Amino acid sequence: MNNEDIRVGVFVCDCGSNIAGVVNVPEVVEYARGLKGVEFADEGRWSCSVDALATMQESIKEHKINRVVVAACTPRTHEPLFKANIKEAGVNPYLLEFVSIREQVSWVHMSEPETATQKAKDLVKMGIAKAMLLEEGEEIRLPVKTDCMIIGGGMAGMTAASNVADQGFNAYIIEKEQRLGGLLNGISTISHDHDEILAADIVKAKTDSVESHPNIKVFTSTEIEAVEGYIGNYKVTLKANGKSENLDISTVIVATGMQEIEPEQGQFQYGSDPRVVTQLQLEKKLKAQDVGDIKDVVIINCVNSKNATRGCCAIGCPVSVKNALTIKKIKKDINVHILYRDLSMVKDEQIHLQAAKAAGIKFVRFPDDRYPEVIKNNGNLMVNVYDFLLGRELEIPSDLLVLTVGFKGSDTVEQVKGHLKVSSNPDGFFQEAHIKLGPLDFASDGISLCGCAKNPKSLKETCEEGIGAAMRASIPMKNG
Amino acid sequence: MNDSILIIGGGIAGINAALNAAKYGTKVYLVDDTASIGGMMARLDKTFPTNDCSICIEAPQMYEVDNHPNIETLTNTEIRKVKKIDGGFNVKLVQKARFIDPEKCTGCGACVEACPVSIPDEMDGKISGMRKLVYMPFPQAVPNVVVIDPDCRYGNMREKGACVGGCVVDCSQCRECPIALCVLACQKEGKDAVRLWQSNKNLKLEVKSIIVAAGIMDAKPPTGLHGYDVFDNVITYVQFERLMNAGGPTAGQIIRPSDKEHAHRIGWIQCAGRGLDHGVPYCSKVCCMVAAKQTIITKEHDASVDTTIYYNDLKAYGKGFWGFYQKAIENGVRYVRARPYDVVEDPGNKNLTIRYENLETGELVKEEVDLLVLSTGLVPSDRNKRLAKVLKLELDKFGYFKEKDPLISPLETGVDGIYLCGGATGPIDISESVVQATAASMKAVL
Amino acid sequence: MANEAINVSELKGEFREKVNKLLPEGNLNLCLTCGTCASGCPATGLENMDPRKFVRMVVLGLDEEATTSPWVWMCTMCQRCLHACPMKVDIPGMIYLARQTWPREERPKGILGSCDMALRNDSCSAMGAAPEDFQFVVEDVAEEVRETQPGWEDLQAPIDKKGAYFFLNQNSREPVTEPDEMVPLWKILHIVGADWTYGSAGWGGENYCMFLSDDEGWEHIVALSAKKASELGCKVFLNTE
Repeated sequence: MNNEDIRVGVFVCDCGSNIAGVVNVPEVVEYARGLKGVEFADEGRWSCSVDALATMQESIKEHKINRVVVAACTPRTHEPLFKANIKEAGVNPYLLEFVSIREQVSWVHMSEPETATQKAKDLVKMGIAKAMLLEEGEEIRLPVKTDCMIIGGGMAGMTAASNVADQGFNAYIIEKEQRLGGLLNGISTISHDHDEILAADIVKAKTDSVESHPNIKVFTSTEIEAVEGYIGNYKVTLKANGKSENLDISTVIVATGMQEIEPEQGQFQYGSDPRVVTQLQLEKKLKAQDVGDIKDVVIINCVNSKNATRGCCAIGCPVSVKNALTIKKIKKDINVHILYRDLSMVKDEQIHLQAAKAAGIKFVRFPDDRYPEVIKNNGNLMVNVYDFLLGRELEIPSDLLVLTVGFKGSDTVEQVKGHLKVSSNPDGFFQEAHIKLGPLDFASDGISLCGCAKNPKSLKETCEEGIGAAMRASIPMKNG
Repeated sequence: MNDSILIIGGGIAGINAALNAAKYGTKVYLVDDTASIGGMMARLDKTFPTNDCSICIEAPQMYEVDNHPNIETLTNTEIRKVKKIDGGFNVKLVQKARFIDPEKCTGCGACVEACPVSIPDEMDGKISGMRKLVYMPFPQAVPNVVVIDPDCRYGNMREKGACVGGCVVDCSQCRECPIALCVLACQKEGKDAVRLWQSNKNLKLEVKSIIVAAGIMDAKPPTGLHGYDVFDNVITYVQFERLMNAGGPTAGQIIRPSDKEHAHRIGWIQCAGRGLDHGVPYCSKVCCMVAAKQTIITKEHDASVDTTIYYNDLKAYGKGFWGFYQKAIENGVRYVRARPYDVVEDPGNKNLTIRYENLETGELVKEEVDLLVLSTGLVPSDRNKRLAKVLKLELDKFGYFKEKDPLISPLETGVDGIYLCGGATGPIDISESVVQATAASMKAVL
Repeated sequence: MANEAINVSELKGEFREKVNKLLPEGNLNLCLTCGTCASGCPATGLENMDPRKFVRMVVLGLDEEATTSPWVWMCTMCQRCLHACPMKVDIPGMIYLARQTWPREERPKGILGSCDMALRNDSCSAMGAAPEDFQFVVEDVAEEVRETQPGWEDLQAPIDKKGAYFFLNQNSREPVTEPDEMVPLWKILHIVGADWTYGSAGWGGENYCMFLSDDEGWEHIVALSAKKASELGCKVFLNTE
């Protein structure tokens, strides 16, 4: 190996105009050709296209290339592809050096093509230097057994567990609360097609099937004390009632759910007046079918959402419509006003919106920069809102004021991050491996992600993710 | 019992269902009725909210499909008959001739270069996309094999210059075309892959389950909607996506159809055509982010271009979407809450004047743009009706495949063993499609 | 008053109930508040109103402001808003109902006078022209054309011709103020060889009672014209308005 004649092949990708629109690629190729150790350099319009990959293989063979430098997008998505390709051309896949000239050059220096081209040259030069030092590597195979730990016993976790267990694998659900069900335990009804069903019925059916499944073991009131190891070989220490227990785990599914972000004290009179509640607090009343002796309900959407620090809460619009309809079902003559910025109701949700209007629920649109004001006058709550569709200010009395707030990850997020060495965003939602193509994975193998621990979503989407995460966790277990 | 599964549709949903099932250890038949897998995503330029290049992230997955020993890809193939049998399905398919021997074609493109006839491309015709009679669907196509237009035969394209020789015998008697330029070019490369008289192939499969991933389509605006099909410079959002795509007909130049000049003032009308009359009474949910993406990219091409989005309710429901909208605003994209109605063309310079009422101020405004983009939303694939009949599945009132019970058993259908994912279920974005595909593959392999 | 805050508990919404009853189920509930109606309406901006705001007022129950605004009389009933509306919300239908809430005598003088004029005799003419005056003008103009314009010696403008295929009505401003304006249409009908007739009764084409939201008057005029057409045995009613 030491005396081997090192012959580097450099492949610089245009990525259509993604790179070539900024970086002078022919110049970079020409530059690479002149560098020590470089046997061959070429430009590709899309180096990842099937024909370009075939050409790369031919060039490798023709020029007896034994170190490959690919200067293109990002190793995050494309390294496996080029590794496989050079392997097919007879070069050990560990003799590939990937240089990012899209994410690190053309995208960040979009308006300075000369600097970008210079930086691309420098990075390619460094890549070539590193490639010349690369040594062959070997992949070892570790056995993966069939024990899957699911963190979180809400709908996502339970759905994932059922699907894992149905294959004959073992599923261990770790739930910090006393019972399974998660967020759904606190919810009254779920919109379903054109109707509603009781959340309690869904939770009960799912809990029963999970608890009676021979391959599922449920740990309630249990916390995770420690996780060590890697895919196929995690040593997990659980803690319940002061006692510790150890588990040998092969794969992990994170389904820790989410929680409401409480409004600030005094915001819209929240905390200072018991008539001001959040949607989840309202759900409790709706679950009990008792909203009290009230006449006027006002719901304010986008509370602490869609601002400089936080995005759309994702589910507030359909939730506010659903709960408004439930209030109307409990007592028809209660006046309900929903104050909103944008109505985010897609496809079939439009049907619920129309039903709400037919039931007499009023929708009032306020400007992004002019939130409603809540005033307490002689003990009465009055909401002042500027209806921009009308161009007038409205005064709406309210004896129940509901705030549709945003969500954040569970309190256990920091702990889980530490145990599994995964990352999250500022609101405590876990970061998936790739926002488009790796929505259920973490960057590390063997750990998958589902449900509202990733971002707020509907029950249907949560269940779909639970099933999907089970698949992601099962592939290595199935292959052993 | 046979342990393999069938996936109908090779878009991003079908690809992910196939890869998951194959990695799980299941034999997969991935069927697509077009010449390449890739679907809608292969046509897009970038993806929201990260502006990842669409084909760049999809191509590695397509390549993985192509190379996976457990996946057999059948392109240009339609499902004809499906019969439920004990523990699975008997499926009859037809693989339409692509007039090429796929074993011999290496995708070198010599035939494409040799072909003397260019015609408007099905996908990009409106924005001056042309293709040869023999063509590669797109550079990253899988399989990387060209297709020949069936019209090449029987002298149908003689007038356009396709037939070069003075043949003495009738086409139907000869059935060889030894002098066709594509045939000669291919032979010169030493491959001899052109088979101009290839027949369709009937195929039979036995599978234990089926995943329907037949995708979704962008809505075609009715003629006259905001001047579409009447004025040259009114195009749809998918046509605009092709315009800004480096792999599209203009190589990423945002030029207008009428004079091929760069557009300096571009307007996007959101919810265009949404309504009872046009079959899209619902919100298609992705268009807001698509417009944000298109304006951001337009600004990246040339920051001096004025971009205005006329919209009503902003849909920023997903992770990172709100930040993406804010990025558009930071980049100088103008958002106006309005839904224009009148569009008038200046017959001289072909500029368009739109008239709208600003919802927030009540002002009536007239504005001129160089190019008008209609965000027309998503509609069910035109394959759904036929496919539903063959599979004995129900469609919902819009024409999407119906789930048995969306909450209790998501992605399952009225027929045991047939599952849904992606655009077949309704308007959906890429990551949601991947989630559903992964879930559907779980159900299908069990 | 226009800038004071509106206390919603004082709103009754009786007009909304009326709209809901008279217009097809769910019509108001379909509104997407997109404003396409206002973008297309020729009356947008007048009286600081537009169709979108009008619908908004009706939805919220601002009966008084929605129905009493003089804007409801500025609407031309052209139905452009309805054509443009993605959800087919019948705004002109609502405007019609709003007009009906006005005491008849308080409705705009011009429209009211024209409707009353049309109800005066069987002509149904907003100009009040009597049947015999119309007959005289038509015959007089036709004769003049036949005599003075070469090539039109055979031009006919029949009145009460039994069995004619088309029954034609006529905006009554023309016979009264600009009789020559009637001629081009006659010539077209002549060239194509149409078998047509005016009626001595119910010939007035405009129907101001409809614009006045006077159900009875509107019905009276339509019924009278239709009756005349069927008496003459005409097959097709050509409405020129």
